[in-house]
Order: sequence, then structure tokens, then C-alpha cells
Amino acid sequence: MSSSRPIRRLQRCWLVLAGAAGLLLATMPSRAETVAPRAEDAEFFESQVRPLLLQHCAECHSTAAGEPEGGLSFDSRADFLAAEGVAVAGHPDKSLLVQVVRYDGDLQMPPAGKLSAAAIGTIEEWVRRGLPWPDDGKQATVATFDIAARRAEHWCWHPPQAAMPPAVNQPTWCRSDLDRFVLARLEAADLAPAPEASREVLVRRASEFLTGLPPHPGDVARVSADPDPLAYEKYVDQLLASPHYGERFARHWLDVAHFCETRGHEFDYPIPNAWQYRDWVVRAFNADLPYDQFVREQVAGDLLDHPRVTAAGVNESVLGTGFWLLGEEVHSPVDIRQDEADRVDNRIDTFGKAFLGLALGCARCHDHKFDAISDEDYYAIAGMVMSSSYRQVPFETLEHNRGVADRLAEAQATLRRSLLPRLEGLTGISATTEPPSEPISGTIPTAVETVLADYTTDRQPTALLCDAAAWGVVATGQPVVTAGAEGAQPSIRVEPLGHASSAAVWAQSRSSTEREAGALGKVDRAGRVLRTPKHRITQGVLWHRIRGHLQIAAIVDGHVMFAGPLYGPHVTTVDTKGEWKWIRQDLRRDIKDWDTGHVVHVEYAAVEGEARVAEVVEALEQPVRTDSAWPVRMNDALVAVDWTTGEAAELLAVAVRHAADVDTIMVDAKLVSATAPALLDGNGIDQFVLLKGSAARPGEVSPRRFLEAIDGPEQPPWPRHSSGRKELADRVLDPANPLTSRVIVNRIWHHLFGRGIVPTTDNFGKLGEAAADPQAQALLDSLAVRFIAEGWSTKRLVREIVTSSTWRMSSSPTAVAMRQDPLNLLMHHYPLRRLEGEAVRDKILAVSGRLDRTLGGASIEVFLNDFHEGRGRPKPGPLDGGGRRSLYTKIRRNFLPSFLLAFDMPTPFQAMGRRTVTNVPAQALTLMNDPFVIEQALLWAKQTLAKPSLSPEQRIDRMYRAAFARPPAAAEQSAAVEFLAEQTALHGGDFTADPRHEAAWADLAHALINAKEFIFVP
Amino acid sequence: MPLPCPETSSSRREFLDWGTQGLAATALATLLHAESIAAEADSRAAPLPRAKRAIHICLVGGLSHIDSFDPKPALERLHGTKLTLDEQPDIFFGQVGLLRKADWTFHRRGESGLEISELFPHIAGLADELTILRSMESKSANHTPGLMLANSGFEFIGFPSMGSWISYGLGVENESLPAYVVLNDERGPPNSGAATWSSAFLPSSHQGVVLRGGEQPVADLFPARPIDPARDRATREFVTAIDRQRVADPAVEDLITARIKAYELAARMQASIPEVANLAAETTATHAAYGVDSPTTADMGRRCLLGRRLLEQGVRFVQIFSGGPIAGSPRASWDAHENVRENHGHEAARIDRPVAALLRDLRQRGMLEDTLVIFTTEFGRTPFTQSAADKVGTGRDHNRYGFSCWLAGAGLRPGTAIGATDDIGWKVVERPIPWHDFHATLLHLFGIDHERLTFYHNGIQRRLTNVHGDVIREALA
Repeated sequence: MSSSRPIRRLQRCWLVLAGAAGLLLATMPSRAETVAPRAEDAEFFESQVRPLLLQHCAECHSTAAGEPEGGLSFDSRADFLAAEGVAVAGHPDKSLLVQVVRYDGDLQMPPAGKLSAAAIGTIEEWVRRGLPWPDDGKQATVATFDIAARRAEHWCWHPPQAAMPPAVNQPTWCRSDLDRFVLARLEAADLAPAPEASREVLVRRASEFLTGLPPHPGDVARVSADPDPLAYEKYVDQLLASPHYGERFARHWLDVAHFCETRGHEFDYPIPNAWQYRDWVVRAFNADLPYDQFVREQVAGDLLDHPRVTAAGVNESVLGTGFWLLGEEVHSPVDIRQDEADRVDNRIDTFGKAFLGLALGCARCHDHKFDAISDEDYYAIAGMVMSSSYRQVPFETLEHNRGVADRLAEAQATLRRSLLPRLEGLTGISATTEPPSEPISGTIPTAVETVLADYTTDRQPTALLCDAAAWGVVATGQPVVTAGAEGAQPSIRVEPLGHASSAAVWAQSRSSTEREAGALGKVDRAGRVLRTPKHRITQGVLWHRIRGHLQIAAIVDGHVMFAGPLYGPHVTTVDTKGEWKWIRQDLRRDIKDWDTGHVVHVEYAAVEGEARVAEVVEALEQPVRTDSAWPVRMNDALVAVDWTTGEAAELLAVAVRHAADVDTIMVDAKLVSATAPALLDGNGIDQFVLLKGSAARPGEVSPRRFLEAIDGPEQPPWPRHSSGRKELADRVLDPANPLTSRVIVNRIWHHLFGRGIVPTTDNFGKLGEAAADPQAQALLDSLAVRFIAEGWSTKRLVREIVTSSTWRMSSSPTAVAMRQDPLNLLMHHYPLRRLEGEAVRDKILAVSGRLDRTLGGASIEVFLNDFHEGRGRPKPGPLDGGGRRSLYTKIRRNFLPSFLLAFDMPTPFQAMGRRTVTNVPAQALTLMNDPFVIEQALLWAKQTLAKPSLSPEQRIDRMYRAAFARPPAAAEQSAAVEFLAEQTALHGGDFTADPRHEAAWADLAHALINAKEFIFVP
Repeated sequence: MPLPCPETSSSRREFLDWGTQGLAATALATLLHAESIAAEADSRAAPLPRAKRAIHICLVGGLSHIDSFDPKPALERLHGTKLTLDEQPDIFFGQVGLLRKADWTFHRRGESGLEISELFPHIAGLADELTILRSMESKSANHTPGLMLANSGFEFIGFPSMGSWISYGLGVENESLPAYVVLNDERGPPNSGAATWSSAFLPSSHQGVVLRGGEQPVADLFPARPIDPARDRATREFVTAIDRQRVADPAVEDLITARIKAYELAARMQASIPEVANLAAETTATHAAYGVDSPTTADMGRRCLLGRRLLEQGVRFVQIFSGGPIAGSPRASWDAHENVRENHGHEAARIDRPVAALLRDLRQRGMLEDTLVIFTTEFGRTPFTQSAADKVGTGRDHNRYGFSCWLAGAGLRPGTAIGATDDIGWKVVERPIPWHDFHATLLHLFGIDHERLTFYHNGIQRRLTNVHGDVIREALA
């Protein structure tokens, strides 16, 4: 396929243009002269055409400029001929080249400005003459995109191999295999590893890097003094069992998922309940959820055959899919299709970087410039992303209510089975002899109707897609008990029209947590939503055949952020007052280009009472339907039946009992649940390749499949009835996938050493930075292979690393080692590392005694100072964040916490597995002057002074141990006393008389927070 | 910064990104610039630096080009007629009313004869200094993406703004002031707030620093509670003493020195920022020229004057917003959906005199030689009104297909207009200028090849101009 790629791409452009111009040239071959041109034509080319091409085209269409744009090069005749489809010899009007220089279509060349009329005339003349170009004897040089070649030449596509740990001279230094790899490299360079750090340092290091909190001073003392040689290992186990471990590693993962709780753009609307995803990540790390399951639940947690359900019946797995829903959302996007393309792009980019360490986003506009990723790969995955939709899932009641719905469906089916034949007997009207009506009436040409969903059982029933379990299908002819008018005898009727139904009880479902913003949020949709499959439609008018009081939301191109001036007509509420009605919804007010096709699905939510949906159709005129006649006739006959005697009475008794049974079943329905952002699966969509990434320029369809470089060009077809995310998860986690295990192992290494074996944690491609040497690569591969073999346990891996001799090295290198390897690539010492902003803030809270160690829950509003301005500014939260860990500060896209930002907290826009670490004056200003720091310093002082009996030295000792996990040296002790004395004097006091002057002690606390050792971990 | 090639430069790049020397990042960047120029001298010459600093007047909303810098006499004739469109325009509300002529009269100005309308009488007086770009195009007709595109070249949050790139590319001139300063409209910042001047993945030292009035002009510049300077000093000295005490090995000495330097710098900022922000140091005549004494122009006048003072003190990039949050009533930005005459008349009166005074002041001080003045808008406005199809309304919708911005100062060809829209100002017909070209040109004027000012982020060499951008040669002197 490789050699044909540039040509295919040109043909795609060709198709678009041909379509626009109403021409049918897509398959027409182009031909340049194959014989030598006549002398005057050659002269014409050389004197007039070639200079034009050189001046206006060669800047982009030449191998001299790198890869020629669109695979078209004017370097040589051979290059030009290699790109078929550019021009039709002899036919200027049929030639793409002429169209683009005339600026006739979407593709306009040269982009810098239209050529002069004379120059365009020259090009036309050249085409008319048959494209004469003297053979210069050169070979085509256009580089072609060749997946196989690229795959072969770059390490990341090759499966990891477990290597034997190398032999070392000092085997006693090694505690594990990984140490042997590290030591072998050092020995080869004639370097010695740094000596083991003290227990004190190890305890601090382990505590701060495994939990993000300083060690308890008591633990430092206990472990340091413990004669047990395994005391440190035991302490590590204690940390791994601490819930703060999950908080720490969750924050790392949230950088990758660019976790955020608002949608940004102009008004920064909330992503309701996004914190549920954050807590899911915390729980996953604490429970040591095997990493393969961790990935599977994020990619497709809504589609698992056996979701994880807690003892309380809560569906955990579905929460993982919140991963996809943490991006920016624009309200009132003018170009709704491009907006979807951008949203999908962010999701694909995040997916690729997070799980595969690949910059898939680079293949949006063209094949990846360097990696074995084609634009078809990109759009194959885009289809899966587009197939699913957003919902707020009632995850607490979902599983339980599925059981209720199943029992209900069972009861209905049983009733129909047992009663209908007897009703036939009773009335003499057959429910089976009459064939169902034609799918669509003949009075309207079928071509103008698109059926989005049809729940009438007479035709082709559409699969039910809903956010919970509220909807079921009621078949045509389903017997129902009709209560008579006041005091009259109840009787039996049959449903005249099959439909999807949501019993009245479900309309009382509600969310116990945050609701949607904007128009959708006017109804509490939790647990009430029915979703149709998606269809590409071209007219923009929908007809809903419904009964009841419902909210109808037409979701066009996945746009759900309904607020602001555009797309108001897409969400509407209708009450049909108990009648079946066709409701018209016109979506043409804000979208005018329906003829070019938009992908649409509809969501219904009951507002109150029973809600029914039979059909939804796109059509300009009201659809005409001929429903089955027999139920009507049967009902007419049933009117005449005397229900008080004989078989009729028996049937009625059965039906009444059934109605009572249904009531009993429905009593079990749980109507209140917390909700969380999650995906709702739909029918599969195969997306077009979008030329240059533009939604206005669709090319060929790229059917859903996994990356060709991993799974090859021939793959089993993806399912039609589903997005295929479940299959996608399988492919990501296939043991033969060379990336997934390496990427996570490398991430964990990065978090524990401050630098990955592959330093670019999110990009293992050609532009990433590879492992420093083959030995380092072998180390990564061995860990990755074993990671899978030992059950994808992240805790096991963390434990192995932090108990290794490599991790235990001191952070003081020798002068020799620093000279030879100043960047510590060989790992001759443990790097001195600065804490992240979150850990700095948490540590300040910990030492001051303000830290509230509560786990999880809704976020604490971000504290805002005068510099936080903008639309959607929330009510500011408390200065100290309620004492909660930074993980629980609300992440609002447009109002990020300034303290954390100063310490390099990333903007939640794209996957960020590796933060930058800077040292800027703003950090000094923050630690010196920020009101939070000053407040906490005072709290720390108060806490230090609380016990009246201690000496100043004892208090200083405590503060040093809390801040630095070590006692002060004698010189430090005396310097601190001296400082306290001076400060007390400056406050107008006398230290000898008043050794507990609060403000002076606050100054000391403030100074300790500002000491380098507070935020740098040895 | 430009890097010879990923393979050979990895360790240095690694050092840049990963090291703890954020302070040194700009300086190193400058160093690398010189180095790579030497390395690649044979392939491409770096452009000659003409600008050393820039001041950006950033209009929030959309300025109607056909009412200001892009005269369309044909609209006089076509006023009240219908524009037939062959495709649905990507505007905002989608209502296509009848064509409307400009609400302000255009005149030829200065020796150059550049036509500018009476909407900006004072700026028009400096027409001979302006290089008007009449063929700007944008990718989005939505406000926030439009503003993001103008600032960072991308329509999303998460990419560094041009001020950050310039700070990163050139480094700081005066370390006791931020390299990139933002001055917001008194009515509030643009909707996207701090994301607009974010350094995104560039080191945080390159982010725009908002300067405000009052006792705390920069966040956390001074202690949250009043503090005796002697105590503050004592605390700093003690911190330094603690840090020095722990210097046991040479490996961490650099780190500690850098950290101590950061603290010293922070202290210097406490003195230099209030000093530069003190407008009382300027004469009454200057205040009057900038319009500081008149209620309509006071806000913009103060900020333009402060902008000039900041530039004088070595700030690289000053960004002054004209317009606050989008939406709301009455409108506080250049978003004339309802009534161009009222909205633009009101907004222009706020900024015309101050901006003209700034230009004159810079010229008079000889600073226009190496200072770039940048005047942008998110997009233009439609030649037809936002009204029923058979009405000439009073407001105009967004027009991303053609609009005007202007530049003045360092290295530009003054008194010229580049490119053109069609007869009615609907679409560009000559020399389209996407934002990438605009940004490429700015960097060029700073002596930076836009394809070589890159930052290696997560495996991708990021650029202000993404993978596009052509310098607008016609605009250069």
C-alpha cells in the first residue's frame, strides 16, 4: 500500500472537488505525454511553465522542503508523474491543477495568493498541450509513507523481550534484577553507585514519593532505630497500604487524563460530578486494581460482561469511562462539525499518549510525519470515539435497576404469551394472521425519510440504548388492564402500537449529586434517558412519534453543551397530554448546511408520568404510517366483552394479578442515585478521513480498526452494533501489543526517580527520546514483560523499585561521577527532587496541623484572589482549601489554583505524564508572601507552642523533624534560637522573658517552609 | 529554541526541560539560539532583529473593518441591497440582512494617503506610521477561540501566547520585572482570563503577569499582612543561612545558588514594580496627552502610559486589552451585534486618543525604531447587517473571512496597506493573512525564524506557528 499512498491522498482531494463541481472525474486517469515533447512545447515548458512552478509551487511541492505537501513534487518529471490525478492531459477544465490555481474549489493554490490571470493562462495552456515536460532522466524522489518500513526501524513497535540480568562484579549490592541492570552500566563506566542513604532519608523519600505527605516524625524515629534489617521494607508496606498512596498516584494519573471539572471556553460550565472519576482513580490505585483492568474500564467500562460491582451494588467499572469526558466543550460553536472534530481529536490524542505513548493526534491532518501512524489509523479510532455519547450515569442504582427492568420485561412477556391467544379466542380476532404493515407508507417517497429509531415491534425494532434501565419495549398487542371510569368495571385492552416505554415510576428518578448546566439540566435526567442510534442525516427536520411528557434533545455532531444563543431548538420539552402525536422538531435555525450531512442522535427523558417513544424519523413532511389494524379491531371487540363472568373474568383476574405483580416489582426500583460522567455506547460509526483535519473536507471512509503498525492491515471487522471500544481495549491490552506495558512501567519509574527510562513518558515515537542505551532499554523491557506476567500489579512494581538498592542510593554523588555523567543518566545517585505544587501545599498543611485527611468526595471550591477574573467566576472557596489535600481542590479550567500553578501544575489540556520543574521568582514570592503560607505558618507556631512545658530547643527539634524528617544540627539549633530572640525583639518582646512569642515562632515556621530542604527531597 | 537535531541535542534539551534551573531557561535559550545559528549558518540566515519589545493593543470582540480601516465605497452604492451568497456563511447568529454602508466617513490621511475612517480620528493622524493588514483571516467565528487564535495560533486553551514565546525566545532584559505584562480593561479581563496569556508548556517564568493598581499590583508581591521590613529581611537572611548550611556537596550548590537568586530577584521586584507603576512621575502634559484626565479615556490612557513605562524599563511584551467580558448588557467589548454606531463609537472613544498618544510618545522618544506596536481584533464584522433578510439593521455579525489589523514601528514599512478584501469587505481576495503568517512576521521582526523558535514538549517540537506561517514580506521595510 505504501507506494500508492500519495496518489490516494490526491484522489481524495479530487473527489471533494469533483463533488463540488458536479463532475464525475474521480476515476479518470491523468496522463502526461509519454513521448518526448515537440521542441516548441519543450521550449514553452522551460521558458514559461517551469519558472512558474519553481516560483510559486516548489516551496511546498518539492523534496527540498522536506516531505512534499500532498505527495506532489515538481522537482522532476518523474516526481510529477508519480502523483497521479493532478491533471488530465489536454483537458484544463477537468484538471485539478487548473481548478486549484483558479481558486475554484476548497483547495486553492498557491495559498499565498491567486496567481495572475496570465500565469493561470500559462498553466491552462500547458495542460491543453498535453503537459509537455522533457524527460530529465531523474528518478522519482518523493518519499512515501511506508508503515512497514517505519515499524521495522523504530524500537517502540518491537515487542519487549525479557533479557537475562547482566553479570556484575558486586552482586552483593544488588537486591533485585533491576539493580543488576543499573550496576552493570555503572561498572562498565567505572563508576560506583552512591552509598545507601540513611534510614531517616529513606523514610522521608518513601513517604513523600509514595503518599505525597511527609512522614510522621514518630515513624522516622521508629524505623531509624529498628534493628530489624527489613524495617524499611515494612515501612514501605505500611505506606503502600495507606490510602494516601492512592491519592498520590491518582494525581500522577490525573495529569495524564488532564483531569478537570469544568468545560472552559467562555463560561467555564461544570462537567458535573467529574470528581467521581478522580475518586475512582484513587480507589483503583489503593486497591491495586490490575493495570489491564484499570485501562479496560477507562476505555470501555460501560461494556464489560462482568463489571466490578461493590457489595453495595455500585457499578465501579462504568466510572472509568469518565476518562473520555474531561475535555473542553464549547457552547454555541459556530461550526458544529469542526467542533466535534476538535473534541474528538483531544480524546484521541489523550488516549494515544496515556495508554500507548503515541502522539496519535499528529496523524489528524496527514500521515504522521515520523511515526508508523497513518491518518487512516487516526480516523479508524475517531469512529469509535464518535460512536459513543455522553451521559450522567446513575452508577449506584444501575445494576439493581437492571434487575428490576429484567423482571418487568419477563412479567410482560409472560402475560402476553398467556393472555393473547385467549383474547384471540375470546374475540375471534387473530393477532397473527394479518401481516404487519409495510415498513413505510407508499405515499411519500422513501428516499426523503431516514428512520433514526423504530421501537414498534411490527417493523425492525431498534436496540434500546439508555443511561440506566428505565426503558423497555412494549410489543404491539400487549394486553393491559384499563381501569374503567369511576366505579366501572376494569377491562382488558391491547396496545395498538409497539413502542419503547418508561414506566411512570422512573420519571421520579433523580440525581443526588450535581446536575447538568444549560438547557439539558432543566430536567433531572439521571436514570431517565433513552438514546437512539446515530445517523447521518441531510434535511434537519425530525419527527418524533411519542406519547407523554418528555424532554427531547437532538444531539447533532455530539454537541451537548447547550447554553448561549445557538442551538436552542435542539432541546425542547413536549407534553402530548396522553395522546400519541407526531412532534416536529426543526433544526435548521442555526445549522444551514444540512445537505452536507450531520450525524445526529436523539435523547428522550421523561419529565413526568409514563413516557413512550414509537419512532423518530427525519423528514420534511409528517411521516405517514399504516399501523397494524388487528389491535384496533380486537379492542373494538373487547369493548363488548362482559368481564364479570366466565373466561373473560378469569383473564381479567390474570391481568389484574399481573398489574399487581408489576407494582410489586416496581416498588423495588431505586430512584435516587449519585451520577457521574460516563460514556453510553451506540451503533458503530465509520468516520471519513478529514483532509487536513478539516470537517468540511471529508475524504474516504476509514473503517474502525486498531493501529495497522500493531495489528496489521487485515483485521477482523469491528462490530456494527457497538462503538467497538471493548474490542479497542482488547487490542490495547493484547500481550502482543508492544507499548502498553512499557508505557506504564516507564511512567512508574518516572514518578519514582523523577525521570523515565524513556524520558518522554507520553511519546515513545521517533520524536520521543529513547532509553539512554541498550542496557537501559533491556531493563525497561524486562520490567514490562514481568509486569504482565505477574498480573499487571502496580503496587508490586512500586514495591520492587523502592526497595531496590538503586532507589536507596544517597542523593550526594561523588565528584568523579558528576564530572563523568553530570546528568546522572547512568543513575549513580538518587536525584535531589523538588516536590510538586500539590505536595508542597499538602506538606504545609501537614506540618501546621491543619491537614484534614478525609478521603474523596466532592471538590472544595478553589480559593480565588483578586487576580482571578473572568466569566463563570465561582464563589471563592476557603484560603486553606478546608485543610483538604490539594487533590481535592476543584479544578476549574479557567480558574486554576494560583499556588499550584506557580509550582508548575499543568494546564489540563493534554496528557502530561511529565511535568516541568522550574524555579522562578514567583515561587519565592508565593512561599514568602502568599496569605495561605502566612496563615499556615501561624497555625504551625500555635501548634508548636500548645504544650506549655517544652523548652524552645525541644520545640525547634519538633519543627525540624516535622519539616525535614531529621533533628536539627547543633548549629542549626542555636541559629534558630538566635533568630527567635531577634524576631521576638522586633515584635517588641523579650525572648528570655517570653520564649513563646507566637509571632516570632510564626516567623520561624515561615522561614522553615521557605528553606530549600522543605520542598526538595534528598 | 532552535535545536540542531533531536538526536544530538537530547542531553542539552533534557537539561533545559528537566533541570531545576527555570531561571536560566531563557538565558540558555538565547545561548542556544546563537549556537544553532552558527551550526546552521549555511542553510538559512536568521533574520536581522529589528524589534526589541512590543506593545499589543488587543481588541476583545470584533472590530468592523469596513467602518474603520478598510474603506468600501461600493457599499455606499449597494446599501440596502441583498448580498447573494452561494453558501451558508460561517458567521455567528446566521442572520443575513441587507448590506449596510459604513457608519463613519473615510478620508485619505497624511502623506501616505491611507484611508482611515472618522471612527479613529487620532489614530488616523498617525496614518503615516501604520502598516495596515487588510486581508486578515481567522479559523473561528467564535469569540474565545478567535481570541486564542490571535494570541497563540491555536483555538484551544493550552498553548503559549505570543508574549510568552517572545519572552522565551529573547529572555528578560530586566530581571526585576516580568518579561511579559498584561494590563486588563477596567471592566474585566476577557472571558478566557489567564488562559489568554498563559505560558502553557513553556516554563512558567514566561507567562503573562497581570499588573493591577492598588497595594498589591502583582499577586503575592508583598506579604499578605503588613510586615515590618526588618522582620521580613531577617526571615530572608535566616532562610539563606539555613540553605547555605546544608550545602554539603558541590552537586547541589548550583541549585541552591539558583534558589537564592530567585529569592533575591523576588525581593528586587518588590521595589521595581511599584516604581514603574507610579504614574505620578509623569508630567501633567503627558497625562493630558494620554487622556488620563478625562473619564472616557482615563482607563486606557493610564494603561497605555504604564505600558510605555514598562517598555522603557525592559519589559519585552506588554499586552493591553480593549474590552472586557463578552456578552452581557450593555456590551463591554467590540461586539456590535445590535448597533455598530453605538457600540463602536463608545469603544473607540475610550482608546483612540490614548493609543495615538502612545504612538506619538514612542516616536518622540525614539523608541518606535525598535518597538513594535500591534493592534489586533478577533475578527471583523459582516458587510450585511444582523437582521431579517429584508431589513437594513444596525448591528453586524462576526466575519472571520476578512478583517483588518495594524502594526507600527520597528522594521515595518510605514504608511502602507497590505492585502485586500472584496468590494464589500466580505472576503479576502488578495494576499490572505492567516494568524500564522501574522505571528511569523512578528517573530521575524524580533530576529527570530518562526520555524526555529521551538520548544520540545512531550515528544513534539512545538511552534507558535504550528506547522504553518509565511512572513508577510510586503509589510517589511
